[in-house]
Amino acid sequence: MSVLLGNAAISLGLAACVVGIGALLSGLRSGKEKLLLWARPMSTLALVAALGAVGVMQVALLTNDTSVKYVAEEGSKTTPFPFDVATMWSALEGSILLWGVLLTAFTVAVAAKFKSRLTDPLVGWAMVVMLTVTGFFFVLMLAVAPVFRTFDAAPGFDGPGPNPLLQNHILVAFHPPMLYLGYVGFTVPFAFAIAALVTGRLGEGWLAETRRWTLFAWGFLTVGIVLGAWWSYEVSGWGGYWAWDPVENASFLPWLTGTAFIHSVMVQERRGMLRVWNLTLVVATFSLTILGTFLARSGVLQSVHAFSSGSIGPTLLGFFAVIVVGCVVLIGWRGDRLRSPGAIDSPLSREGAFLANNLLFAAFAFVILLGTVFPLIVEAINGDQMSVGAPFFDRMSVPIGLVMLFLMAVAPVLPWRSATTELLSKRLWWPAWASVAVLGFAVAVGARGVSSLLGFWLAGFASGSVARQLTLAARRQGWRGLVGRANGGMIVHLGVLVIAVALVASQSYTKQGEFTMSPGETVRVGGHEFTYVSSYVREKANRREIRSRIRIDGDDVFEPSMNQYLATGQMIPRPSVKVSLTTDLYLNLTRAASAEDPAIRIRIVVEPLIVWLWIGGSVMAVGTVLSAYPGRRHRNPLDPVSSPVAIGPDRDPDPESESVPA
Amino acid sequence: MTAGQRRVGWAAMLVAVVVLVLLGARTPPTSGTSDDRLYALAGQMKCLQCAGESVAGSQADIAVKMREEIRSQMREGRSDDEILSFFADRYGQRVLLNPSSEGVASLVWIVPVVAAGLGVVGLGLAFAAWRRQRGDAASEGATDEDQALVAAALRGSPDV
Repeated sequence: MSVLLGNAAISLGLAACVVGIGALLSGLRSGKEKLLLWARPMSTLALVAALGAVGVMQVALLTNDTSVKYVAEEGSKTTPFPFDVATMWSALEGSILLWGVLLTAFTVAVAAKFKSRLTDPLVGWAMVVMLTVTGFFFVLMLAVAPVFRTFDAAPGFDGPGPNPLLQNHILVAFHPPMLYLGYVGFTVPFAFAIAALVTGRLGEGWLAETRRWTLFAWGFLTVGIVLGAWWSYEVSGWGGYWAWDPVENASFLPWLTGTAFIHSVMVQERRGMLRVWNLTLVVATFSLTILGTFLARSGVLQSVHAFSSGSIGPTLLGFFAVIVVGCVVLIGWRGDRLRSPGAIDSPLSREGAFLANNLLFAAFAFVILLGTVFPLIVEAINGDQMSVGAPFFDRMSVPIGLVMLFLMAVAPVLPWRSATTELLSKRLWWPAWASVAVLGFAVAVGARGVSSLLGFWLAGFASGSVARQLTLAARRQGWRGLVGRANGGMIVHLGVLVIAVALVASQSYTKQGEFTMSPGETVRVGGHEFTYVSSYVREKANRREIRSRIRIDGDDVFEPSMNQYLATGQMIPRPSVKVSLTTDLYLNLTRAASAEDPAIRIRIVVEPLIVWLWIGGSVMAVGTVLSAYPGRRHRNPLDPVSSPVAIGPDRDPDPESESVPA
Repeated sequence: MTAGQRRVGWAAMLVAVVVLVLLGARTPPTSGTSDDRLYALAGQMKCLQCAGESVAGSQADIAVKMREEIRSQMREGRSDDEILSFFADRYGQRVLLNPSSEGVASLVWIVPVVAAGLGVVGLGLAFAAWRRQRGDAASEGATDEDQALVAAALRGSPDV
């Protein structure tokens, strides 16, 4: 019954997409505006259908209806709330369903936002693209990775439940939906980019329409990635939060191109330039979300996160190829309209800095993509098996990261068009001295290592620039100095810098060790004392927890545990962390105590500044929201594009006045 | 503050940064038996029984045994390279997460550097082209036709 209902819902969704696309296309062809209005009811119908399918799935999971194969294979009676809800995205088929429902929600949101302009061919074509992508996911759900299949369960049958790693921490309920909101959100700018190409309206209109959509997609992706790192830290068992795993890289790639886009788009809006480049970035970002899904879901690459394989791999790869080829053809076809009218006057200008930024982000994305797929390429060429892992990515990221930090220090104070070195010398004076102070402090508290110190120094420099920009903006505009694109962007930068410092510190100054301990024994790691007190067992519905009590520095007691999942018998350690603003003390059992042997084996990691990774992520999220809030209502189109003069008593004493962020 | 004083200040800053970085320079241990060195080495090897984990991060049997082996070789006073090539001989090149700089594998190091170089050159050429373009435009200046267009636009805009 559930299977029937679920498949009916998905078929209805697919039908809504097909009818919608048909109506829109014939409307666009014949110019009958009535047909273009179909976009709204059809996308709403698709959303209702997708919600119906999710509802059926959730009821099946919560009631453990094993007539649904997915529930039988991934669910279990003993899976506690909210992990039974999250089971929907614990395996391939369900995660496609999550993707699909989010995509239909975005489609409806776009149709609602542009409800008064549905008859505009630009919006019409964008809706065609949205419905096509949505339809593709409905096809995946129906035929390629069918989520509703029947299962003939013997009486008393109970499934294994989700992979124990996916039941070990509450963040499983939040990380995938956030990440998917980011992935799916990039469909909107992609749809408008295609619409702009098809209609030939390649001015700045489509960019302005999609600015906030892109920003929110980017914000969700950022939050998704940070939550993923946090989750990984909480369960990994060795204090790591980012392992340069193929699936992690796959989420980072669209983030990089998306970040490049939200910077370079400002050049196009201000100066009308970089049209082809911006289109390329939008297309690249969207297609990388698809490629990432392919890498994660097809099983071609070994990964901790990979799901089982199936025929979905070739389908996704085919979809990816169609997108890339289609977009190259479209861009080539519209080449004449894409020629930029302007010229960039000087490398030493805001737009020059944005170009350098784009070069860096593109290079970073290229390096990560290359490193991720390189073993596949080599194996295809000469059959050699090789690995490209964290040491490669770490080494490549250090120079790129340092140059990025340097740009973050200099770029925000640059005016549009061109700057003189005197101006830079004046504006960067205090940020630079602040950076020297930061560096001195780092050396004084014992930070060592050339690249780490350069990282702290440049992060200090960039923070100085952020502080300068925000102070000036707040002085001029009051609380509005904290909102709007440029000011909100500075707050995002601040979050990035917090993360950068935390990354450098935790990568460079971690102390760790693994010990076999008997009750009463004490070990020292990184200046802290750890005493093993005792172990005990706690029974839960779906697992047995063998917990060990560890006293830290003779004070608090923390309890890492070894969890045995009853359905599979798998033993999964659950670390326990003493968190503080300066240092995390990370405890993880690698062998639990037993009745015969009360000794444990434990891994202890002392990692500095970890908590700032999550704080930095929150600052980035807040900054994203602030930058979506309009700063000044509208820029007068007749204002000079470079430097409007500041108004008011506190005007900047600089001879060359500074731009008020719009 | 005059421009000259500023210049002296910047020079002082540069000196301060160089001195501080040199003061804090440090090289990671390449000998000895510290846990830092153990995990640094283990982090450069792949756990072959795991899906995408390093020997440093994994608790699989093989990773635990490999860490013990690394520790005993460290005790014997072997160098980093000796230890890594010991494992590469035993398990094949794919155990090394850091691709070698020889053969086809070296491309993974070379290609990004070449691509970045091309990017920088391309950007430089673009700036040169823009500069030329700007020079041409500046020599031409605004024509009467342009002026008329601007005047018409200004008249037509009620906001101004």
